[in-house]
Amino acid sequence: MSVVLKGVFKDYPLGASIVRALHGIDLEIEKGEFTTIAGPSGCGKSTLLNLIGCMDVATTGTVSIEGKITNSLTDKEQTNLRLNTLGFIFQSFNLVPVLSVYQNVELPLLLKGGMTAGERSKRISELLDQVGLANKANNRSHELSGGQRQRVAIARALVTEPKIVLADEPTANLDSETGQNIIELMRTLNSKQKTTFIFSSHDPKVIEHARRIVRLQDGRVIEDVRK
Amino acid sequence: MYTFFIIALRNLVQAKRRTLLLGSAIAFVSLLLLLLLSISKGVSDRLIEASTLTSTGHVNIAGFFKQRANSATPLITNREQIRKLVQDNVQGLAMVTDRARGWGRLIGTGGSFNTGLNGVILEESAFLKEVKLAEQSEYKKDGSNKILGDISNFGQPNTILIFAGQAKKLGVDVGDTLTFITEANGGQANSVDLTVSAIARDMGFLSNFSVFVPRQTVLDLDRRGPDTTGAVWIYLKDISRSTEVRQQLEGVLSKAGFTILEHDPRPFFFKFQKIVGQDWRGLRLDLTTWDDEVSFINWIVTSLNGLSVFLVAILGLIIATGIANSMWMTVRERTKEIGTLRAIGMQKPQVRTLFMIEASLLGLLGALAGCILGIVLVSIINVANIPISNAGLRVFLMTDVVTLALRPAHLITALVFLPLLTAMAAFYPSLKASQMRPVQALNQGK
Ligand SMILES: Nc1ncnc2c1ncn2[C@@H]1O[C@H](COP(=O)(O)OP(=O)(O)OP(=O)(O)O)[C@@H](O)[C@H]1O
Ligand SMILES: [Mg+2]
Repeated sequence: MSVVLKGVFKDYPLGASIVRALHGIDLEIEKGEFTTIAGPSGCGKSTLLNLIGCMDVATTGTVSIEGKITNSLTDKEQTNLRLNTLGFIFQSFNLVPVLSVYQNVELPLLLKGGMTAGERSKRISELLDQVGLANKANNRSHELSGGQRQRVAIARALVTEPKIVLADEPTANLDSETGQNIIELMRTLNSKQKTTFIFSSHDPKVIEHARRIVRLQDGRVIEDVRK
Repeated sequence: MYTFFIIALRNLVQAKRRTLLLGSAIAFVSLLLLLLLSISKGVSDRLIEASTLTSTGHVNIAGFFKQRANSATPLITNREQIRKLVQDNVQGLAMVTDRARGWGRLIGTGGSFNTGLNGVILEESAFLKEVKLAEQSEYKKDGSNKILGDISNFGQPNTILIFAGQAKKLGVDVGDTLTFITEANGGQANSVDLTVSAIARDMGFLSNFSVFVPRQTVLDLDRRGPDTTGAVWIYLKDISRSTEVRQQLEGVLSKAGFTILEHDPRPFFFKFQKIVGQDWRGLRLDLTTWDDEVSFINWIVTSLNGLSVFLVAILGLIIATGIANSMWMTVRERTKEIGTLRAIGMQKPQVRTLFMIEASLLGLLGALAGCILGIVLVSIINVANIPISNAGLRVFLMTDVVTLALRPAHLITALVFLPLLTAMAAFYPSLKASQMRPVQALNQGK
C-alpha cells in the first residue's frame, strides 16, 4: 500500500471556534494508482493532500506513507520524507523565479545530494525531454507559458524518482486544453514509471482522466470509484 | 551550496534598488572604516618615525647619577662597556648610538625656554642624516624661501641645531648665537654660547622638547669625562622585539654588576622628581623602550582609535538595522518561495543558510566596493599632498600634509567585519523564515 489513512480528523482553530475540515477519512491508495480527489470548494481536498504530503499533521487518526506512520515524525524526518519519497506539483507552479528551468529541476537533486554533475545532467535532460522542454533548459520561468511552467514543475517533482506525486489542483491556473494536456502528461509518466499520482480537482473534464475518483463533501468521502 | 549562492546572488540582482541602496551604505561604512584606520595608522607610523628619530631608540639604556640626596643627573658611566655589552648580546641589532644629555635654559635675543640638550654623535645619528631643514619663511616673518643653514656645519664645536618653531620663539636665524645655561653636578651654573648652524622643519610637538648639539659640547659644559653619556640607544631590525630586548638587557647588565631600576614605563625625564626624592647614592640604570618614551603622547593614537571605533559602531548599528529591515521584507516577499522550498525537501537550517548567504554576500560586495574606493581615495589623498592648514593640528598629527597608511590588514578587517555584521543582522529574519510552517507559507504567498 502506498498511502493509508485511518480515521483521520482534521480541525482548524478559527478564532474561538474550530472548523472541522476532515471528518474521519479512511482511505487506501495502492502503488501506481492514478487517483483524483474531487469535490466542491471547501470540501477538504487541500487539507487531505497536505496530510498525505507530510506538510501538516492530523488531529486524530493516522496517515502512513509507504508503510511508515507519519504523525509523530519530527520536522526533519518529515522534510526528508518529502525530499525522498514525495513529489509536489502546485496550483500556481511555484518555480523559484531566479533560477533557470534546468536549475529548478536540479534543486531537489542538490538537496538530496549523492549525484555527480554528470549524473544529474543526464537525469534532468531525460526528464525535460519527456515533458517536452528540452529546448527551454536555460530559460527563466517568467519566459515560459503557464502550461510550460507546470511541465517544469512536473519534471521537478519527478526528478528524485519519488514513490508518490501529489498535485493540488495542478490545472486550475491553466486553460482547459492545456490543463488536459498536463493531466495526460502526468498519466503517461504514471503508466511508464509506476509512480503513484494523487491530484485534486473540481473540473469534471480533468477528473474524467483519472483511473480512480475519490469524491469528498464536507470532509467526508462520499464516493470512491475505480474505472 | 553553489546553488544557494546562485539563488542569493540572483535575488540580490533582482531587487536592484534595495541592493544598490544597502550596498552603497555598506560600502560607505567600509570606506569610512578604512579611512579612519589609515588615518590612525598614518599618525602612529609618523609618531614612531618621528620619535625614533628625535627622542628615543627602540630600546634605551639611560641612568641617574646621584651624588647626594635631593639631586640627580641624567648620566651614565662605563659608556664603552655598556655599548660593548649591547653589541655582544643583542640579536638583530641594526645600530647602536648614545646621546649625552643636559637640561637647562636656552636663551635667544627674542625669548627663552627650558629644554633638554641632546649631545649627538654626528656619524651615528640617523636623525641628522634624514632631517629636513626649514626655509627661512617657516620661522621668520617675511623670510625668504631659501634654506640658510647647512647640516655639515653641525659638529663643529659649540654649534646647535634647533627646530623652526623654536627659532621663532627665540627670534634667531642661522648664524646667530644662543646661550645655554645649566646647573652642573656641583650646583653652580655653567653656560655656553652656541652658534645656530641649521634650523630643521618642525616634526610635530616632539620637536618642542629637544635641541641638538655635538656630544662634546654637552661633556664640556658639565666637565664630564669621555666615558660618560646620557643614554645608549639601541635600534633593532624588528621594532616589535623591543620589550624582549629590554628584558634581556636588564639581565645582561645586572650580571655585569650594574644596578637596574625597576621598570617604569614613563619617559626618562618624567622620572626625575621621583629619583631626586630617593635616598641612594651612585649610578642606577633605567631601561625603557620607545613606546615608554612616547607614552605621554600615545593618547593621540588611542583617542583616534577610540573615535574610529565609536563612529564605526554607530554607523554599523544603523547599517545593521537597515539590513535587518530589508531582510524582513525579503522574507515576507518570498514567503511562497520558502513554502515551496520546504515542501520539496529543504531543511530548516538550509533555509536559514540561504538567507544568511544572501545577507553576507551583500555585505561582502559592499565591503569590496568600499575597499576599492578606499584604495583609490587613500592613494589620491597621499599623492595630492594636501597641506594641513591648522597649526595646532599640524603639531598634533606631527606632519604638514595629510598622510594615510592603508594596510592589507585594514582591508581584511573591512572584508571580514562587514559581512559578519550583515550576517548577524540577518540572523533573526532568517531564523523566522526557516521556522515558518510550510503549509502556512505556501498559503500566505498565494
Ligand atoms: N488554515 C486554516 N484555518 C482555518 N480553516 C481552514 C484552514 N485551511 C482550511 N480551512 C477550512 O477547512 C475546510 C477545508 O479546506 P480546504 O482548503 O481543504 O478545501 P479545498 O477542498 O481545498 O477547497 P478549494 O477547492 O477551495 O481549494 C474549509 O472549510 C476551509 O475554510
Ligand atoms: Mg484547495
